[in-house]
Amino acid sequence: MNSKAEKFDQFLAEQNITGWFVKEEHQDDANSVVYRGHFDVAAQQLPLFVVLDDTVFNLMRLIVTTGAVPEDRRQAVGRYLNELNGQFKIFKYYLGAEDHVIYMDISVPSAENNFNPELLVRLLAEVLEPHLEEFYPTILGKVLGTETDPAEKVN
Amino acid sequence: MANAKNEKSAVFEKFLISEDITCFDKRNIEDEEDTVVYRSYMQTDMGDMPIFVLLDATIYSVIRVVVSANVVTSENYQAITDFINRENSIYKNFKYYVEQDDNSVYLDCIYISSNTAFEPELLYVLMNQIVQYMPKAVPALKEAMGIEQLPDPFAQHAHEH
Repeated sequence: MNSKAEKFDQFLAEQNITGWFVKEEHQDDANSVVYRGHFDVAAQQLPLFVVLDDTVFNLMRLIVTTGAVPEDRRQAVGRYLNELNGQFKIFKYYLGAEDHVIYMDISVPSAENNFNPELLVRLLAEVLEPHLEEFYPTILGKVLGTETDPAEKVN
Repeated sequence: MANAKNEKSAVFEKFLISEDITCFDKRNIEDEEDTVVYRSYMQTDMGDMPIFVLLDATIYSVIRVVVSANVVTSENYQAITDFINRENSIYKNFKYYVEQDDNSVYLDCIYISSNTAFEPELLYVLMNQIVQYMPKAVPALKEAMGIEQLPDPFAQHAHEH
C-alpha cells in the first residue's frame, strides 16, 4: 500500500469516519489504492472514488449520472458542463467519450510528505457536497431535457 | 479586519531565483486575497499563449493559459467544446473551458494546498506538464477553431487588471 493511503486510513480512523469508503488495493506499478464511496444527492446515490498512489497525483472522481446522457441532450449538457467548469475552480466536469456518462474530477496533487488527508475530506464535505446540492438538480434537468436555456432554443 | 496574507508568493519567488527562472512578469493585484499574478507565455506554432500563475491567500493556486482569446464563434463553438470535452476526459490535471463573456478558450490547472504545504516545485512541474502538452494539442486546436494563427493574445487583456 502507498504511504498516502496509509495516512488517509489513519486520518479516517482518528476522525471516526467509518462506512464512507470501501478500500481496494491494486497490485500495479503505482501501488494504487481506490476508495469507493458515494454521495447522496436528491434521492440519488452518486458513486465516488478517491484514488491515491505513489505519484504526486491524487484524484477524486464522482460519477454524476449513472446512465448515458441521451444523444439529443449531449450538446446542451456539454454547454452546461462547460459553464460549470468556467465558474468553479476545482471541479472538472466532462462526458465520458465512450459511455457518455457525466463525470466530475477533483485533482489534488501533492508530494507524499505534504499529503493532507484532511484536505481531501474537507473538500468533499465542505465544498463538493454543497456544490452538488445546489447544482445537481440543474445538471439532471439538462440531462432529462426538463431544463433548457435560451441558447438552446436559438440554436 | 485585516486582509488575508498570501504567503505562497514569497516561497514561489525564492524558488524562481534558486532555479534561475526569469520568464515571469509579476503584478500585485492588491485585492482582499492579496493576489499576485505572474505572467509568461508559451510559444506554439499557432502563436503565443499567455500563461499565468495566480497565487493568493486562499488554498487555491491557479495556472491559467489563455489558449485562444476571442476566437470562439457560433460556427466553431461545437467543434471546440467537442475537443475540450475529449481532452478534459483524458488529462487529469487540467481542464479547458470556453468563457462565453470573451469568446475565449482557457486552460486551468488548480493546485490546492495550505500556505504551509505549498510546494513551488510541484507547481512548476504542473506548469511544465502543460508546456509539454500544448504543442501536441495544437493541430487539433487549429482544426477545432478553424484557424491557423491565434489573434494577439494580449490585445484584449491589456487593460483588464
